Amino acid sequence: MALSRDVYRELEDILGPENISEDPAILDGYAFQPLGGVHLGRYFTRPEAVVLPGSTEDVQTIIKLCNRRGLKSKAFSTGYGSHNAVREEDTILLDMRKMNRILELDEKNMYIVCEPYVSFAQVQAEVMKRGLCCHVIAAGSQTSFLASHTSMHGNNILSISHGYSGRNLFGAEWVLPSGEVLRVGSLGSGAGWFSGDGPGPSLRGILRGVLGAQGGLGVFTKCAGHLHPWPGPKELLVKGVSPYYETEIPPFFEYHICEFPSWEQYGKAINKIGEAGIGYALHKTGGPGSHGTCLTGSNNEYYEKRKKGAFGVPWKSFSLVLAAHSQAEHEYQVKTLNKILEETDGEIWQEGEEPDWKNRDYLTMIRACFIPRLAFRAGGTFAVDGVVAMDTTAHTMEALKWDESHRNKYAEKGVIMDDGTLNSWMVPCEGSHFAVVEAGHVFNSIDEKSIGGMGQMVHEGREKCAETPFNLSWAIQGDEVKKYGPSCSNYPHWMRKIKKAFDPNNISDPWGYISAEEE
Amino acid sequence: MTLKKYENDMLRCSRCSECKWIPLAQIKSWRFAQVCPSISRYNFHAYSAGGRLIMGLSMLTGRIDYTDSFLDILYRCQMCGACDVSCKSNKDMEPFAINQELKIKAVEDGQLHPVHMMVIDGLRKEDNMMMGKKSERGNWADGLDVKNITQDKAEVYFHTGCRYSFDEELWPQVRAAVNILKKAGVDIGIAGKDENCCGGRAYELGYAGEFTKYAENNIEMLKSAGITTVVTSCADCYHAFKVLYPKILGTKSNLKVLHITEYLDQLIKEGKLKLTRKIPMAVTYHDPCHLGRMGETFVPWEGEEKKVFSQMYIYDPPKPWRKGTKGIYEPPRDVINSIPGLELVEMERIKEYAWCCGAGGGVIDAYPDFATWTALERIEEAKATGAEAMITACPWCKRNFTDAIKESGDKLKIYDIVELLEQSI
Repeated sequence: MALSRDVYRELEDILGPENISEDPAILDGYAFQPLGGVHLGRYFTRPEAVVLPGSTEDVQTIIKLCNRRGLKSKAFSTGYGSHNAVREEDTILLDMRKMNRILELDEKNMYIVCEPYVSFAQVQAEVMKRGLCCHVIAAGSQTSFLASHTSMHGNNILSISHGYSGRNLFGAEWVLPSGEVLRVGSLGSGAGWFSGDGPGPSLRGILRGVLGAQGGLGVFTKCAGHLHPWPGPKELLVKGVSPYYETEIPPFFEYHICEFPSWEQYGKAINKIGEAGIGYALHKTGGPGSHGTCLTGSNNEYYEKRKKGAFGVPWKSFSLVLAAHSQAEHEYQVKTLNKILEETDGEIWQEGEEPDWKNRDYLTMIRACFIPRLAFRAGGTFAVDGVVAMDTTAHTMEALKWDESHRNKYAEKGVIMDDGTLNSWMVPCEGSHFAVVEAGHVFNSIDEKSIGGMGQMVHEGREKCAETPFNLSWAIQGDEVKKYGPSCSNYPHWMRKIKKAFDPNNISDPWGYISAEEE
Repeated sequence: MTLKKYENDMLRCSRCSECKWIPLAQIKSWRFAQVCPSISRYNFHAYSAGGRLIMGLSMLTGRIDYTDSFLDILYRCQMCGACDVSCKSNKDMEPFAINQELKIKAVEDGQLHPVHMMVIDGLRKEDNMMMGKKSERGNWADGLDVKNITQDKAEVYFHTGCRYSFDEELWPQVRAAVNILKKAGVDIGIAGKDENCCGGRAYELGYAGEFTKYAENNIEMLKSAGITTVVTSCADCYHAFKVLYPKILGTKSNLKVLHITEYLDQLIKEGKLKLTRKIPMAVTYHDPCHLGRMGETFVPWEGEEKKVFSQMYIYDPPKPWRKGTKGIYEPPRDVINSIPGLELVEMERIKEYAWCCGAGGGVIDAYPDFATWTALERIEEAKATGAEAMITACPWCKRNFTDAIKESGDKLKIYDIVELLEQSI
């Protein structure tokens, strides 16, 4: 249904004519969402109009209008992934691109306040100049800092030392689905941005929980994110010309790929590294995607080298960065790592010690700059095969073990790329007691057999998830969650209650969260 | 339809938005992180390379047709190629080529921009993109003692380009270039009033037919004059001769093409030019898009996609990617560094990920306010280095920066590299 002329005029009056469009050429730019769902189709529902708000007041006015006029809404920042797509008719999409400022950087209290269209890469570049770092999600540093902090799970390579997005959110400004503005955490009591939990309303569990409402619960217009110590240089000196960027590993830093004989020993080593507090960055080699792709400039280059035996990354391996502030701390970290490797039969994989490998892989571990290369270049896309879970590290080892056979089954069918590597991915967090696993596999986004096969692989993975504890997954969206509730405290029941309470007119697109209607 | 050739690339767009930013590893600040003027100014996703890929796919699959917005999105693009570098930094795709094909298709379908039509009418009548009179094309060289290749034999042809030929304020630079080359003993000739447009800008506006006509005429003229080496001070003309001619004409174009900065760098290193006079000044250098990332040598390729490792795609034979890796970045910097007294301080966005001056793709003609906005963004970046002046190596950049500075009242000085070199000799 096209937007009525008076609604359109009202929006024009609020925002100015240059900040609203209902032209199909523009709308398709938002309906097209291939990531995470080529097997679901590339184009989703076209919004009725796209608007570009410039302030919290603009957002509030638009949301109130949606309530008044019976329209839906969905906010959208960098818009990466099918969870950003509009799924309901009569939806106004708010592209938050014009709200792109860093509002405050408090070095002493180690937080930064951002609007929605500030990217992780921008934040990281600014805070590194001050000896600080932020976590950068594994989707890549081109994505929105605020969107992940407020609305998405947000795991990342730095999670071992920085946590995931939910842990890094401090104060937030939230335009509720009703149009009211709620300031959450210490911000709500006028005490500033420094805490997500108070003094002031502590609603982190409601506004985002572990997984985030993914645009299904109003619009976040500002948020503060936690910053962490950065013992490295104030600017990473990047050498080379695109696509061959690399940087030197700084003094008191170590980079290694460590391999293990079993998943149990692998998990044990991660636990020990977490307990010792020595890891700065750690992720399972993979990406998702073949780890070696991030060292090469094109698929042909990767293929030629891989054929000759290069990039044969061990399946049970992780990349690790240690970062110390002093020689003594560095020595302690190295000694501790060596002891952990000894205790878990781990070894340092020698190909990863080559300068090209180290200098390129280290760069992307810190800056998440080659993630789209890892995930997309080889086949055009990737998908998680249903297993995307945050759970104990021991459970995620079980998930990886299961995924090995799942991967082999679909590799034999010729559905996924099979270069002899295991592309599923994991990162530990919370002192390595928890971990996130994303059993991602590269498939061919324009090959029907590959697309169909991946659809089947995802379905099978999700069935497995429903039988096991691997079910707190951001990849399970909308009302699909009800299938997984019974094995996990019936959490969809609580999500629905939250949705009803905060969105009485059901105006926020529920696709990434849950609808208010009872089944 | 050529656009169809790129359908797989459109289908493979992951909508990651990398095309909007400089390559992620290179982001050094909040302020200078963006790379595409079009999306930076107009904000809707469609104004990015990824957005244009989606438009192309939607058009191919019949989801959309031409609208005013479609054409606005298409033509509000400088064709600077920055999106291409950022995307290709991590992927094997062709966003720039798709944008180019969309423009060609729009022109073929009669979806023309009225201002571009006027410029192209001028080209058809007067053989230049400046709406000047052909008979006045050679005026810039009045009084210069230089050979004319239509009458005399010369080893090297100096192609002036439309902007230099008709923009009188810029004449001193192009005259200086000729004088310096002569001083270094180069046997140089020009074509004066008989010079024609290179056709490069017409191509970027989508007028492929006009481009081919001018390219063929120029090749014919140079063959008749026995010319095998072309030198130009214009980055756009350089790109046309160096990249577009072999791309469109194939082996018919077999010229050695040098930008003036490459030639000067060579002459300095060979000791044929002595730079002695000190110019004490902190300067920054703006990489012209068509000399830098777009200036890579064209390598012809015909081949097809092939699947390996079950579902990975490669190209057979391997595709010689244009990822900006081998653009002309060092020669201009070497020339600057060889001028005594100059201190080069780099901006944040340089070389393959430099921000565009704003003049390309017909934007300076059709959307002068957008061209100025883009130039002012760059001027801000130049000022942030603390430099007193910004040096460039293209008349379109110089013109657009100079005009933007006049409009804004800024104090930054803008130089063509040749101006400072001349002062230093």
